[in-house]
Formats: sequence, structure tokens, C-alpha cells
Amino acid sequence: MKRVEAIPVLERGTLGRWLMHSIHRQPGGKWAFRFLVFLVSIAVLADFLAYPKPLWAVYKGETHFPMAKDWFVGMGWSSWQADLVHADWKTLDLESAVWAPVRWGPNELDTGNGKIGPFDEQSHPNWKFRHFLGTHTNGKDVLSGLIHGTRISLTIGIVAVGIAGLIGILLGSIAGFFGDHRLQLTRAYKFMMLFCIPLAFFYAFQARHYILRDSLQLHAGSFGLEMMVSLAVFVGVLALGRIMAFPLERIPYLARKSPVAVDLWISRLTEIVSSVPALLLLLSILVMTKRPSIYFTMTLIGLISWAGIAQLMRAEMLRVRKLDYITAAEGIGLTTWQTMLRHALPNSISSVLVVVAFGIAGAITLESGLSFLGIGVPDDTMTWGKILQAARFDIRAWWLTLFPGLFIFLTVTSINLVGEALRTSLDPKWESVYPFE
Amino acid sequence: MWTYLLRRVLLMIPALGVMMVISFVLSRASPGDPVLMQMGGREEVTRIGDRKSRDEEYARISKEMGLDLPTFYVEFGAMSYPDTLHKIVHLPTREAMAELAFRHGNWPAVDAYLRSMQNFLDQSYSHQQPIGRNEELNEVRTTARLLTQTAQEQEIDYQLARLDSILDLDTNLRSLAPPLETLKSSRKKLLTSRQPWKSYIPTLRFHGFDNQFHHWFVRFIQFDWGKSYQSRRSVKQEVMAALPWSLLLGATAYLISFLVALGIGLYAIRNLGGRGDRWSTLVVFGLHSIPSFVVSMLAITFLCNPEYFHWFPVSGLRSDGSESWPWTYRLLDLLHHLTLPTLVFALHGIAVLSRQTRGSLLNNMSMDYIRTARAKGLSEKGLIAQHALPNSLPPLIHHVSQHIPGILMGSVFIETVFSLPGMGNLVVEALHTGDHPVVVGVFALVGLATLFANLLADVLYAFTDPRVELQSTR
Repeated sequence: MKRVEAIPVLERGTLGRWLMHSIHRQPGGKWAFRFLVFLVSIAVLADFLAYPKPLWAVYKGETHFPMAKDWFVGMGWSSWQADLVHADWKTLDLESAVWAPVRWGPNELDTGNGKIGPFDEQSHPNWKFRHFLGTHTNGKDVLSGLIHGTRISLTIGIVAVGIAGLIGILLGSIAGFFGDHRLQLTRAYKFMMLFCIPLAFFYAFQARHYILRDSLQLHAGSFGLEMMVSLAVFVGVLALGRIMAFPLERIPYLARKSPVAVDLWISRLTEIVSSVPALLLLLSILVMTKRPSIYFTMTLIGLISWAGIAQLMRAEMLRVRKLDYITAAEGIGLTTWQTMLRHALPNSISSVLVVVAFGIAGAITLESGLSFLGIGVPDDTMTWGKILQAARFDIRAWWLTLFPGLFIFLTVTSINLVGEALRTSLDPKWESVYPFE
Repeated sequence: MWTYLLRRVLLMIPALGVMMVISFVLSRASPGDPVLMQMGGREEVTRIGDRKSRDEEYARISKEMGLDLPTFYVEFGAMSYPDTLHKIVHLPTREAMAELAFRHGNWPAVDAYLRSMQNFLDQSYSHQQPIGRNEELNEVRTTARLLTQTAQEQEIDYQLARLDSILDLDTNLRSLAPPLETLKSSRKKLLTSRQPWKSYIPTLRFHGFDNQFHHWFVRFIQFDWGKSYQSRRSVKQEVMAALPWSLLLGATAYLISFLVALGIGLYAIRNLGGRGDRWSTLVVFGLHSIPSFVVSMLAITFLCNPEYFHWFPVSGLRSDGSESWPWTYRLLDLLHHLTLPTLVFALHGIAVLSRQTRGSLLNNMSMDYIRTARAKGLSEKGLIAQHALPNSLPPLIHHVSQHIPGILMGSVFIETVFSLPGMGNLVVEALHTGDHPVVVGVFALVGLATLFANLLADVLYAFTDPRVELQSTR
């Protein structure tokens, strides 16, 4: 049985230190953390590691920066000169050039080298053009796909869990902290909300139905923007209702306060969300979208998977609520919201981080699974799951299974190890149960 | 405890309702026209002779599917929509007219526009053309059809202009000019008499029990889940064909993994922190991080591959030509095919269950009553068998019963990789072929199973652990 350390009381700036401390105490945690840093750098530098064009090249006496130029062209700030629009830089007669270590794009076809293993003979002018980890369908480079897939996987994990965390933390802490009796509202307020919530829904979503639909067909980004506008309208109408409730509160009957059973309602909602078969719902919604977008997929994963975070947050808040310093904070006259946001929330956030870590791992697994089934990921986006999918059609191609499998395994293990480290340091009792060294 | 159970069951009712509504929304949100899909797709439909019988068939199937009814008991929407929108049978036309009604806010004008379009369409179909000049007439008909299905102003203008130019070019089509004029004038009237403010006034309408949701719900609880677009069989038949395989696979796998997990836990009690315990913990932690599709792909690549170890068949349930074998051989063949998927599934189950088992057992071993029992002189084996194990089972039962939907569903990934005809494979195939009724049927079934499994878990827990009652009153 190990020495039981007190859970650190969090002051400003201690969260990061506590994180690092717990990671370093976890056996293997250091390596997991290093691997994650390595992955993040791969994701950030993906284009510098694998790109079909040189980073710098001299062609016909002119200096080019093809990779940077591609980026500018993509943003619409520049355009390629006529003879270079469709040029294959690998066959051009360059005077000198600096290439990325992998000279293939994730979706670039190399039909001369279709589906060959890393050790097989490849037809290239020079070993530097080799496909180091082999190729899959129509000669797409595996290593390049893995490098660019890292970016997608990490983004999905972070964005999806970010959304889930935001919803889960908000709902869970409201449910836990206010319970069924502490949220006291005037009758006027309740009446206005009863009236305004359907109205807000109508103006935000039903009246904007066709605008939202058209933007969805146009572009995923513009759909996101219109969705923001809709949410703003929703909040706006509710705020208007709150303002209109003020004069009504002068009437004594309407000014009487009574509790709202937020805990009951939010717990019901959480139960429903957690009992919806998430994978099936995700699959059937994603199949319906005509143009899959990776951002839509991650938002959807986030919207479906917040229930666990909310349940944990609720439990944490129930615990924290009873602590003395919360009573003290209320004693000096802070409002319930202030107490919750400034004092109760920071103290419970560390245990949510555990779930967040496991959630990121789960989202990454889920996304690889989706692209393994070929659902929800656009054709021009390469992911780890897609390379695995390519292996389904040829079981002899061991490199298509092994390398993406290894990437998924290492990533998920590292994230899980970090989550484990946080859990161990938060729950010393668990540690005695789990001698992981 | 009975009040707790009653409360638990009552609280499940809203969840059930919401689950049914989600399934219904999914079933209505199918991509494409569900009536056309039910009729067998666009190609099949064009084979039905003339337009009139085609439209009648469409109306019949639409009625059969209950699509000519209002959607729900109540409707909360813009004032500009009419009460009778659901009476437009053709779904794309209905959607287009709804959009026009929303954009212009004037339903009578939209209605007049629709009627003049239908009139024009009827005229064009009764029009006789001299032999050899059918091309223009067909173009007029398709253009008019397109016109009924669009609500975009530019598109409408374009199609109208196109009709104009076709009529101008072909003198035989002159008789269609007057209905076209009425169509254009009704369109002009639609544009001049706009009342878009009506679209921003919410109204509540009541439709009574004769609505799509009600009929769908009644059919659903009578196990009538519609017909598959692909196989033309009922969804119930499809599910019943797939369910046994999933259950077989899942139940065997979970049995194996439960036993292994229990073994790991019991071993851990006796040898806490020993080499075996540490290794098993490490392996389980690793298993937890490998998704099942990676494991199954690796298994297929290295264990079903003539280049490495060809121990197991790659996919399916039977070998080629096994029909003529005696039944003992066939049974062995079946087991041979099922072994690898079951093992892969069991590995997944071990990863999920064994941490729980180990934690629960160890937690109980450090309790005070164990120390008392030990002090009393009970042997270590008796300690585990009589005290620790029975007391650590309730949370485990709770945990396992939560996995029932997982067993029911099978593993989508394992079944897909090994091409087993289970529920997971059924859903994935249906998703890829756009077979929407199957997807919704399985979704609703698994959703309900999840709710009931949670209920079962709580009930079992309440019966095995008397402390639950205290929790419920909080």
C-alpha cells in the first residue's frame, strides 16, 4: 500500500504543474507524454514531412517555393503560372531542390507502384522517391497518409471532446450544484421562459430552416456560420424574455420564487443521451449527408458523447458543494452562479480531465472506425482508418494493417496512460488496487 | 426497494418516448424519396407503363406507408404553411410547395400556381403529337415535371423560359400555349401578392391521432418495421435472420471473457503485485487501447493468410462445397469459422471486464469484514469463496448487464471484417446500400434494448445490494 497523498488544492497556475507531476509519477507516463508531443509535432509539421512538391526549388533559373505557394493558392491569394499548374514536380528538370523527407502526398497516385510492400522492388529514378512504408490503392503512399492522418485524428479527438466537454461540464455542474432546490426563479421568469423557449426555437431554427439547408449544401463552413447565427438568435430571444420578465416581477404574485428541478431534468436528458446507440446514430446521420465533412463528423461525435462527462461533473459537484469553503463563499454574499463558476468549478475540473483524456482516445478510435467502414470522411481526406480499409480488400498486404494499427494503438495507449496517470493521482485508493509498475 | 424500482420504471417512460421519437425522425429523414425507393428505385418505376398508372401506384404506396398524413400529433410551425400540405402526395412536390409557401407567405397563390402547373402537365400528357415529333413533347413534359419540384426562383424562371422556347419552335405544340399562359400569370400573381411576414408568426396546430408518428408507433410495437428496399423482405425477417448469429457470437465471447476476467481477478488477489499480475495488467491495458477492427484485421492478415499461418478461414460461415458433407463435418466447419471472430470479440470483452473484476475483488479484499473473517481463522480460499467473491459480484452483474445491447448488436467491426451475417454486418450493408428501413429498425431495437438493459442492471443491483435504496432517496 502506497503513501496516500492529499489531493492538491488548486490555486492559479497549479493545474499544469499538477498535470506534469502526475504524468511523471505514472510508470511509462513520461514516454507516453513524449510520444504525444511527437505526434502533435507530426500533425503540425505534416506538410513539411510529406509533400508531393519540393519546399524550395530552382527551375529554369527561377527560384520557387512550391509548398508555400500551394498554401497561398489554396487561400486564394495567389495563382500558379500557366506552365506549372498541373506540373509534376518529380519529373521536372530541377536545377536544385529541397524536398520533404517523404516526397509523396497522401492522396497522390503512383500507378506504376500500385500496392507494393515496403521491402518490395519499386520503380523510381532515385531511392529518395521510395515509398518507405509501401503503398495502398493505386499507389498512394502509406507513410504520407499516416503523417497527414495524424493531423485529422488529433483534431477530431480534441474538437469532439472539446464540444462534449463544454456541454457536459456546463450541464453536469448546473445539475450537481443547483440540485433540485437551489435554483430559485420567480414565477414571471418561469412564465416568460416557458413562452420564449418555443419561440426561440422557432426563430432560430424553423424560420431559418431554408437558410440552414442551403448553407449545408453549399459548404460545411458556411453551415457552421449559419448555425452560430441561429444559436445567437436563440440566446437573443431568451435574453429578451428575461428582460421582459423584469417589469412583471413587480406584481407580487408573479414575483414569488419557487425552485426548478434542474437536476431531475438534466439527469433525464443525460440518461436518454447515454442510452441512444451512439455508433448507430452517428452512422445513420453521417450516411445521410450528401457531402461528408470531417468537421461535421467531429461535431457530431462531440454532440453525442457528452453524457459521461456530465454524469461525472454532476457527481463531483455534489461532492464539492458540501465542502466548507463553498459555504464560506456563499456566506460572504457571493451569488450561487459566482460560487459555482469561480469556486466550485475549478476544484472539480481536474477529475473531468481524466474523462477528457479517455474521451479523446475514444473519439480517435471512433473516427478510425468510421473511416474504416468508409463512412463520414470525404474522399480527398486521408486517415489511418482509410489505410486499414484498403487492407480489407487484400489481406496479403500486411503493411496496410500493421502500420496504421500501430499508430492507432500507440496513440490511444499514450492518451490512456496519461488519463491513467491523472486518475491515479486523483484517487490514491485506486492506486493501491492498481500497482502499475 | 419497491418504491425505488417503481420510480426507476416510471422515470424510464420519458426516455422510451424520446427514443421512439428519435427513431421516427431517423425513419423520416431518409435520403431520397422513400416512396420511390419502396417502389424499387427510379429505374424500376419507369418500367411501369404510362404516367397515370405510375402516379396511382405512387399514391397507393405513399398511402400504404402513411406518408399522406400529418407528421405528428401537434405541429409547431410558421403560419404560412397550410393545414393541408400533407395532401400533396408527391413528396418532392410537397417539399417544393412548402418552401414556396414559406418564401412567399401566401398559400392560396401557391395553391393556384400548383394547380395551374398540374393543369399544364395534364394537358401535355393528353396532347397528341404527329409521329416522329415526340422528342419536343417529352421535353415539355420533363420540364413541367421539374417545375413542380423546384422552389428556386431562378430555376423556375429558367424552366418557364425553356417551355416558352420549345413551344415557339414547334407549331404542333400551339395548343399547350393557353395553359402555359395561365401558369405564367399564376406565377406572376404569386410574386406580386407576397406576404412573407406570415412566415415569421409561429402557430400551433393539432392533428389528432391520425398522423404518421402514431401509425408508425402502432406498427412498430406490433413488430411491423417495414420492408427492406434491397431484399424486399420485411425488416423483422432480416433482423430475425441476423440476430441468432450475433447472440451466439456475443454470448460465447462474453462468457469466455467473464471467466478469464474472473480468473485474472482471483489470481490478482493471491499474487498482488507479482510478476504474473503485473504482466496481465499490462496486457489488459494494452488490449484496452487496440480497437477491435485493428485486432481483427491483424488476425486476418497473419492467421488466415497462406503466406504466414493459414489456421483459420478468412470469412463467412461455411466452406465452399460443404453442403454435401455429413452434418458432423459441417458443424466442425461452422465452429472453425466462428472460432477466430469469437476469440477477437472475447479479447475485447476481457479488456472491458477484467479491470472491473480485479478492482472490485481487490476492493472487497481490503474491507474490514474480510479482516474480521481472517482473524476468525477462515482459510484464504474460504475467505475468497465465501466473502470476497459473493460481495464483488453485484457490481459485476451490473456491469455485464449493461453490455447486453453490445451483445445484441454484435460487434459492427468484427462482423464486417469476418463477413458474418449478424446484426452489425446487416446494419453496415444497409448503410452502404441506402436500405433505410433496416437501419432504423435495428436502431430502434438496440435503443430499446439499451434502455431495458439499464433497467435490468439497476433492478439486479437493487436486489443484490440492499444499500441501493439509500442512494435513491439521496
